[in-house]
Amino acid sequence: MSSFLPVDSLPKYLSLSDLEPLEPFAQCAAADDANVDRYYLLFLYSLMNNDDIEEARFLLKRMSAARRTVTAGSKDAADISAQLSSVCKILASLWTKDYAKFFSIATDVLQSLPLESPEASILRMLVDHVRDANYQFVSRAFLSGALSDIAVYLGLSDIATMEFLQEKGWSASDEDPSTVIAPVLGIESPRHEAQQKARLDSLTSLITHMQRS
Amino acid sequence: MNPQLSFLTVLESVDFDGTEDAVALALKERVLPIIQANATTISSGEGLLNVNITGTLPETSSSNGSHSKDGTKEGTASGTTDAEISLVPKYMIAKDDQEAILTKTDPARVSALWILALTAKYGNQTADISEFVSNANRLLDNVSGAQAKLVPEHYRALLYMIASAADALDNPNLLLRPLLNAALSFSPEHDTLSPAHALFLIQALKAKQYKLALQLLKYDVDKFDSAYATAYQDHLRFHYYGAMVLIGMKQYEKAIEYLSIVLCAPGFPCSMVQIEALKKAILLQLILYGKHSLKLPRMANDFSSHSYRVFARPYDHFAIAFENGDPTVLKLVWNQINTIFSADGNYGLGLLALTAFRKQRIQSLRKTFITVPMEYIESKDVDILENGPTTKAFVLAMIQDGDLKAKISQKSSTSPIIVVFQDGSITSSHLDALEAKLDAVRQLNEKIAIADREVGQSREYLSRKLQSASAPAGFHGRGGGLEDLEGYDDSMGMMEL
Repeated sequence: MSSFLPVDSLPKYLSLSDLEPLEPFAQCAAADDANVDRYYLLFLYSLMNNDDIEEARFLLKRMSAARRTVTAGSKDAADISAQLSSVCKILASLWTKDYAKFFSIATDVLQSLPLESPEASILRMLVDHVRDANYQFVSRAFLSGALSDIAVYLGLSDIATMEFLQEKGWSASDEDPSTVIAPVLGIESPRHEAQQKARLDSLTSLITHMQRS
Repeated sequence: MNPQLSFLTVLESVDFDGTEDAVALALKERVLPIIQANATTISSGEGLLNVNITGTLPETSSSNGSHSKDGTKEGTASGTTDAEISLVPKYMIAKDDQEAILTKTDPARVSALWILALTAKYGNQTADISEFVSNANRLLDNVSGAQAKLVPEHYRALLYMIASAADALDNPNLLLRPLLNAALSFSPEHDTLSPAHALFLIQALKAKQYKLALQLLKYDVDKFDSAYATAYQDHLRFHYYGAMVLIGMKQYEKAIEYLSIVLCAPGFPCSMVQIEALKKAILLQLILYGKHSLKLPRMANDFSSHSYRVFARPYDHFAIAFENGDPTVLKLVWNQINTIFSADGNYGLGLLALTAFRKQRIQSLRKTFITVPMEYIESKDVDILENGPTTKAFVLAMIQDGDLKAKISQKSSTSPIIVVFQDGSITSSHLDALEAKLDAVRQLNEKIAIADREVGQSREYLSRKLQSASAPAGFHGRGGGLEDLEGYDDSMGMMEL
């Protein structure tokens, strides 16, 4: 059985297109090859970074199946490294939208990784990505809300959350400082609205024509 | 004359720089006759290739619900496991020719010869699997669809040998990408069903390679020719397993389209694949639309509808309870029949249906209210299995996933949380999607017009038209299921599975 290529030999800034072609080789490599674990780690984080949670789940199943095939009779298939175990929990927390758990586990994992390692770099990117995506959600879902509720989505303390939101134009409520109010968003320009309407009218005419013919 | 020398010599005279079809024609007219002349004819019963495919229905639940059942199902639980399939090509090429082809020719240029050589060399032996895999990989990475059509039975046999090798090694990823290439290269527009289509999807499902499978499903397959060794079952299975991939990737609307194609297939009596398709279609309809319909698509075979009602009865009961909206009744029905869902591999879809029930109760509040306190939503919210998130977390998740257009407002920590429902505004992305859909419909209309002209001019259609014109009254009343499009041929001997 051939050994998997050293992960440190991969490009520093990895993309999915760098990682996907290597999967068949990882499936054939020895299960106790540390480079294989690191490869799967990077691949899973990259998929989560691309919001491809479904594919990350399937990759986890493929990884488990490959390990069962390779290590049958010699090793417990569930005996994966601690880091892989953590990434499974991170994936589960994103799947169930348990962001408190996500940020907690991610913080613990980052503390255990060498600062300049590719794993630490990609996990930091993932944390930032989830925070940004959650802020986008919070900004369209909340007119006003409890600071503690929003802090869960951002993975920050209440004070840090307030600073973060204030930079984005949010303000604390006069009635209750632990509640924040979203900034008023700009409305669509009349010209843009007119363009949308014109486009919709033209599509409607096309549909009517197709129905008649 | 040395036969081996003559076939290789003739091969040298073929212009491989021509078009794919021209090369295929040259091989068919000049090279294949020489090889066939040296070949041994196999009589029926000698069984050159007996390939056993089991566990043909991987479950979908592992990709969706929290309940996880991995791997494929053995046996006949879903009734679609294949028995031993005897794949007997008409002839087996001579051993010398096998070696000459595999060592002296390029599979990219002479795919047809490689197909013949591989089926002959590895067909009925416990040969070196790794050598077979290596050679098959070389072939499928470069296979010519036009040449594969010259030797359809051998091509089909070879593909099943590959699937068998993957099962023997317990590695469904084996040659998965080459199988995909084989399916795609069968026709330039990727619209012709090949023996590789269904087989690739089965292996992709086993390997949990759903994203890879989507690369095949992005093309509509609407050409089917039994001359290419494709069978009625290939059509059923391709669309059924395609639906399973789409369900795994949460493309439910397209999955329902694929299942409808399976349900409309004109087989008699109905296949178990069609019954499984109906079960999934019912659950998907509940998830997407909140209601079901055992009313089959118009083109579906009336003879099958009775079978559907019998076999899909538990699903019908579940759907009626769902539609009635009484959570107590739904919970009772679920407790009674969830083991049936599990046995059918639909437990995950059942869980999704229960989640959809919860969502649709909350969404229905929009019809009555503009704003509503979270407490009121809590009073209406029902978690059938009582293991889901809280109402507040569930509503926020719905907003995040786009299942509910609403905003949250809470003026202070002591005041109630108010949910403010929003109107759905039309955005550029909606218009882009609508345009893309209209374009797809326009292309489909063109294909239907072409197919309609071809069928209308075919001898079979014209002769049946003449027959029905002179038939006694009441002919069209038989079964009540025959529509104007008489591509339905009773003499085909409808498949029983």
